[in-house]
Parts: sequence; C-alpha cells; structure tokens
Amino acid sequence: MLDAMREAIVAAVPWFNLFILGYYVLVNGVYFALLLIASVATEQHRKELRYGAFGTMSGAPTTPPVSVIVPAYNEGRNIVQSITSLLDLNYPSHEVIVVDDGSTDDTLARLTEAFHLTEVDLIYRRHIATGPVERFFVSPDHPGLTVVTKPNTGKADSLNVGINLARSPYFCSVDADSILERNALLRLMGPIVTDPERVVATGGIVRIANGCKVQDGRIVEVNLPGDMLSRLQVVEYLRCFLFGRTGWSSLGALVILSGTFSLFHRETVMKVGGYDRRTVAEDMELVVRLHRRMREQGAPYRITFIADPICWTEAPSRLKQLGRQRRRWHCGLGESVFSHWRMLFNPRYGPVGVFGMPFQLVELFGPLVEVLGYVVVIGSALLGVLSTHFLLLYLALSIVLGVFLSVGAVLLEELTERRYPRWRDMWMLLFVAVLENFGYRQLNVLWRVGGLYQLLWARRRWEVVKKEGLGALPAGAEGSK
Amino acid sequence: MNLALVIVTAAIAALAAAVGTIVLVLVIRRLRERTRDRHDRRLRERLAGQVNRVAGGERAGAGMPGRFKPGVGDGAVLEELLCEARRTAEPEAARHIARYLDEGGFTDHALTRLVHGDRFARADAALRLAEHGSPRALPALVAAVNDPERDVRTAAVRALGTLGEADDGSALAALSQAVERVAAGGTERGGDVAPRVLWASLARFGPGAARVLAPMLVHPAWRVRSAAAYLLGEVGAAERIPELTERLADMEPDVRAKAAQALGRLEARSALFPLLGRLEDPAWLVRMHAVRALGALGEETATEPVARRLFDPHWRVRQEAGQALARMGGSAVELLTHTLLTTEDGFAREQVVEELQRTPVLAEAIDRVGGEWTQTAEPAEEEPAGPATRLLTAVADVGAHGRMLAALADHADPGVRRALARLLGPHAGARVTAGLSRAAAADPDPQVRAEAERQLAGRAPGAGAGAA
Repeated sequence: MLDAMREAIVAAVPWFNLFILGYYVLVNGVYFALLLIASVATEQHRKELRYGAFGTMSGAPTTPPVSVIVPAYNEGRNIVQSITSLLDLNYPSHEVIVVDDGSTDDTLARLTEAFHLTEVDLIYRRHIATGPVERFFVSPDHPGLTVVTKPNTGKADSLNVGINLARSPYFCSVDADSILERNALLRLMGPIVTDPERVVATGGIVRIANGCKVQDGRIVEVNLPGDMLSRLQVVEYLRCFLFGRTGWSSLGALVILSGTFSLFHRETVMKVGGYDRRTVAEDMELVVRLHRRMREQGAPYRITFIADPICWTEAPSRLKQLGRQRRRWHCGLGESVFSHWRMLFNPRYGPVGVFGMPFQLVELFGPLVEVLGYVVVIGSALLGVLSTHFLLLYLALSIVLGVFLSVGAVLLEELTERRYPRWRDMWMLLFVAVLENFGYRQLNVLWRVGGLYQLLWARRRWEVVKKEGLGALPAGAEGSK
Repeated sequence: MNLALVIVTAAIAALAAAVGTIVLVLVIRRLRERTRDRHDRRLRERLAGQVNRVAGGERAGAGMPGRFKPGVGDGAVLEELLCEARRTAEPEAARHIARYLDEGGFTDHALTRLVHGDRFARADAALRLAEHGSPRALPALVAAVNDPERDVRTAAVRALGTLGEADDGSALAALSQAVERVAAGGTERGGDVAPRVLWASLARFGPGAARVLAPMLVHPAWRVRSAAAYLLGEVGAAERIPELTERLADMEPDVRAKAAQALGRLEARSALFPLLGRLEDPAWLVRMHAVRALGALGEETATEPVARRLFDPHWRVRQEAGQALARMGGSAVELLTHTLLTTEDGFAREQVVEELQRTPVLAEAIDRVGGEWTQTAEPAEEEPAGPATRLLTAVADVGAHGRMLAALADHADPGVRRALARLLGPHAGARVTAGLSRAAAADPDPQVRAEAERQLAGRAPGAGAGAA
C-alpha cells in the first residue's frame, strides 16, 4: 500500500514540477514585461511632464477644484501634520474634509486646538447611503477645512460621508497618516487636465515616510527608515508602484489605486454607489467596479497611475502589524476578484478582463502554489526523488530574478525622482533588494495564505494597524505610539 | 533534463549579469551627476556676478566676447541662471536680461532648436524662449502652435501664454486658431493640445484676451462658447457684458450657465433683469449660476426672486439661494429669517438654518434670548414668544442644535443658558440629552441646573449615555 502511494507520488512529482514551472514562468514573465513597459512609460512621462499641462495648472482658472477627503480613526499623533500639509498644497482651489470615524483618542481635540474649529450644523445629504453622522466643524482660519464626526463604521463609510459632503467635481482620498508633497495634487490632476472627458480616476505613488524628518506638515529630509522591516517595505513599495502600477496603467489594465492617495471623478463614483462598505479593501473594489460599470455602459474612460505625485505614508514597523495589513490586503484582493468574477477572462471588459483580473486571480492563489511547492520539495526529499542540483539552480534562479526585479525598481526610482540621494541609502536599497528574498518574501507568502484563509473561512473585518506616528515632529506636535 | 539545466543556468547567468549592469549604471550615473553637480555649483557661484552685471545693464560681448556660447558649458549654465533671475527680477532688470539673451545669441540658439531639434528639444526650446522673454520669439512660437507633435504644440501654447505681455496680436491669433482646431476635432481627448491648457494660456493675457474670446461666444461648438464665456468673466472683460448677456439666451444650458457665472464675476448690474429671467430656466445649473450671480450683485430687487429659489426642486439651487441671501446681508437675511419662521417646507428650512449660521443672526438671537426669558422668575408653562425665542425654536426644530448646545455649555449669561436649556428640552437625541445632563450636573448657576434637570426629568433613563 505504502509502495503504491510512493509510486503515485513519484509519478505525480514531475507533473507538479511542470505546473510550478508554468506558474513561475507566467508570473515572472508578467513582472518582467511590466518592468520593461514601465521603464519606457516612465521615461516618456518624465519628458512629457516638462512640456505638458502641469506647468500651466498652478493658479490657472481652468484647473478643476478638488475635495480632499481624509478618513481618520485614532490618528491623533499624525492628524495635525497631515492636515497642515493638505491645507498648504499648491493647488488653485481645494477643500479638505476630515471624517473622524469615531476616534477614541484625541484626534478631534487636536484638530480643534490646531485649527480653532467651531461647531456648525450643516445639512447632510445622503447622495450615497451612509451610516449616521454626528457633528460638523469648520475653521474660521481655514475656510476650506470641514471636520465631520461619526460613529465608527469603517473607512469605506467615512469616505462615502466625505463624498456626500464634497463640493468639487473631483475628490482625492488621502490617509490621515500621510503627507502629500506640495505639488502632489496638482501633478495628480495632470492626466485629468489633459484628458478630462475620459480620465475618471488617477493614482499617485505612495512612499514610506518612516525615518523621514517632518516639519510643519512637510517632509524636510528624506531618510531610509531606521529598522530593517520598514526598509524592506521601501523596496517593496518601489517595486509595486514604479513598475507594477505604471506597467498595468500603460496596458489599460490597472485594477488597484491605493486608497492612501488617489483621485476620482465624484459623479462617476456616486453613480456606481461609492465605496463598498462590506469589503476590507474598498479602494481596489471601487476601481474594479468602475472598470466594470464603465465597460458595461460602453462609456469611454481611463483609469491611470502616474509616479511623480508623491504621498509619504507611515508603514507598520512591527511584524504583527505588518502581518495584519498584508492579510487584510490579500483578503480584500480576494473579495474584489470574487465579487467581480464575471470579468475574469472576459474580453467584454477589455484589457482588465483579459489581463488585469486574471493576473489578480494568479496573485490571489500564488501563495498557495508557493506553499505547495515547499511541501512538495520536502516530500520529494523524504521520498528520495529530489534532484538537489536542480533544486539549488531553481532556488538560485528564483532569488536572482527577485533581486533583478527589485534592483530594476531601484533603478526606476533613480531615473525618476531620486528621493534617496545619499550613496549609503542607494547601497542599502540594493542590499535590501537582495535581503528580502531570504525570509521576508516567505513571510509575505504566509501572511497572504492567512489572508486567503480569512477570505474563505474566517470572519472578515478591518483590523486596525497600529503605527508609531510620523517621525521627528516639531515641538508641541510630536508623539509616538 | 540536461537541456533544462542549461536553460536555467543560462537564465541565472543572464539575470545576474543584468543585475550587475543595473548596479553599474546606478553607480556611473551617480558619479557623473555628482561631478556635474559640483561643476555646476562652482560655475553658478562664479557666474553669479555675471548675472548681476547683466541685470544691471551689461550688454552681451561687453566683457569677454565669445566666452559664453549658447547651449555649451558656461553658456548653458549662464542661460539657466539668467532665466531663473528673470522670473523674479524687476521689470527693468528683466528687460536687460532679455536683451542680453537676445544679443548674446541665446535666443537664436533656442530658435534654431525649435525648428531643427527632435520633439523634446523643440518643446524645450519653446519653453526656453518664453523664459527669454524676447518678442523676436513670437513668430516662431506662433508657427510652433501648428507643430506636428503634441508636446511641441502644448509647449508653444504655454510659451505664448507666458509671453502674453509682449504680444503684437499674433500670439492671440495663433491661440485662437488652436482653439478652432481643437473644436473642429470635435473632441477634448488625446490628440491635440488639452483645451484646459489652451484656455489657461489665453487667460494669462488678461482683459486683452477678450478680443479673441468675444467672437468665440458665437462659435458653432458649444464647448467653445461655454469656455469663452467663462474666461471672459475670469479675465475681467467688463466691456463684453452685452455679448455675455446675449449668451444667457443660448440654446445650450452649459453656455447659459457660464454666461451667468461670468456676469456675476463681472458684477454686471446691467444684466440684472436678464439674470432674474434665468431664475426660471429649465436647467438647474443655469438657475444655480443665475442665483450666484445675483448674490454677487447684491441688488435689493433680486432679494425676493432669489428667496423663492429656496424652494427650488434642486438642492444645489436651494443651497446657492441660501448662500446668496446670506452674502447679500441686510434685508436678504431678514427674508431668510422670515422664510424659516413661515414656511412648512423642510428642505427650505434646513437650508435657511445652514446659511443663518454664516451670519451674525443666530449669535445675536442667542445673546438676546436670555432677556426674553429672565422676566419670569419661575419657569412658566407658556413659552414667551419673543423674536429670538421664535427663531431659536425654529432652528432647534430643524435639528440644528450645535450652536445652542455650545452656548448652553459656555455662554457667559446664565439667563441665556437657562433659556437655551428650556428651548432644547423638548428635543430628543443623544447630543441634546448629553448637553442638558452636563448643564444639570456642572453648570455654576443653580437656576440653569434646575432648568436642565427639569427638562431631563421626562426623558428615559440613560438616553444620553451614548453621547456622554
């Protein structure tokens, strides 16, 4: 009986190896192609930026107004810095709406103190269905600032409240633990100014603020984070945004815009019902839904990503918190794929249906395949059918490819913004690009399997990710969690 | 199997080589840039004096003839520095710099690049010429507006906007042609210069742009008419009020709305009656802009017609009507108050209350309400019906308790706090209960505490716990 089982397993191993190889070639082939496409697109965009619309937008009466919506839950440590940076943006006409999502800390008190908020009774019109709202505040010093408080009903609901209150044709969602560069909103508006009839959403790059010096709501000195976990995320974000999103955007198959920093046409979002309150990754779900609805209606549209508008955000610097975040992201990815499964491999939905969504499916089950791979390797070793030579080569290829992709992202960063000008930072980024293949990648696989488990069998909910607070704040505003 | 091993090994080698190459590129690039930056920095320090001399009036060739060659070494850096200096220079110094760049051959160099360079060089040259500020660049830039490449056309349009002051009419004519071309394409997408860039450049000409914008008011394409109307308001073309007033009767709602908006921006009193006529427009956008424009005019005659818009079927018009009346002040605010006290329309009442908060009326009523109540030593069953009381009762009925709760907590006059406790008493809700509970427990005045307790007495126990 055991012999028969052994024989069956031995017979199955080559087929499984073939499957793994196919998966490996597919995934890395796509990454490789994205890197190439992103390199070309980035160079093109860099040149166009100098001669394009951006230069005329600052102060022009034709630049559309924007409502910046900031959902905040227990963000007392960062909120003043973040809102100061938003009020100080170089943009001709923008308002800032802070939605305090039932914070239990001093978020509202800090806002009231810093911006001298006074309570008013505004009419709240539910263009999109939301939970209840409680109080409204405005600032006599900053006429463009509105703060609304509500019970804790989640980020998606908070964003919907913000959309209902927004008075501009476009809205920009920004996380409360983030800081926008002064021209970020203006740059993010670039694709809309150039193609206002089609562009319904656009996203900018999110970078890690851990380790950076912040003063009066501005990043005054860019540094790499002090801890290795955050540094690993720096390279990961560069890879994800600079070639992942740029590449998919160039193909017209972008299905994720980071909720940390993205801009939408308000009416279009309202027509599709706003953010979905039932999902844990409301940003991705909204983008997929926009693709779906626009395609179904046959409306011409574009959803784009550009890498030059920069938003600095705080990354989790503890393994437990990072694990929570990654589980949630993966669970959210699954929710978006499952709730829009009709789009998979469906040419009716254009590049999103044919490339974007199927690749998300591959990404969704990728961690399972990887874990299975490890199991088979161990099993094969136990059964004595493992070719050590081949395994080592395969591992080497996997690592070198991973390093290549990350180093490619570092090169793209160098060619575009070069926010880490110090030599030691560059060497550190290259070192981290190698290091992440030994342990961090595997940890990510485990977290993502956890996310998959959560998606399929456990209760899905928004897990709060605790962070340390944006660093090196000026006296009076400093704090640490 | 062997083949597979060979392939994998080759792939590893290739990738490792690629990684090495990338690292090498990174290092070489940084080294080169570091060297260049150092050189530029030194050069900039050295040339700072030269920039000052140029701004002071030194002519090209006066110092060392031929030393600064355009586009090369010191010349390129000097050009950069002069352009930077010109952006912030006084008009006289800016003229000197422009003359130096022209006489020194820098402008000619850019003009050559504008014609013979690749697309990025041409676009760069167009922007550079704008920074030079030489009127000689105008014909070339006008020609570049028709360049086959969009980047170059966009840069030329931007450059012409920057050179607006020096225009002899040709720049505006070229931009006008560009508008025609975009309109003829029938689309605002992809292929041509983005219309918003085009309009932004035209706006930089200020009121001078009116002579090309005004004819566009009768353009066959409604988008052009609409944009022209909007921009005429933005550039302050007061002499075009008659043409804009005519556009209030345009067949396209967006044009009518933009014309109303422009007339408001221009505070066109002569357009008062046509604007009043637009208050009944079938398109809500037109009604909204007409209301806003009438609010900007602030004419007494418009008060009542605008107040009627508080009952408009579209919430944006109601909102705008409320804001307009609040902005108009005086009798318009009285009308707002009157509407609140007399109408049964819930939407209108909400809107009025929202707007009254932007006026001193509510704060004044709160200050006065104490006086209307202190005449009775003991709480009376019948509420006195002073004007402040009636107003605040109506405000509280709408559900707007925020101001009153804030005053209940911190108003200096205990009579006011007591009156507010009485007025808020009949209203349900966790916030009101919490406010009354706080007053009952912590108000320094015993009469206020007693009144708050009396109002709380009839409520369900723990009703305010959530908000407290």
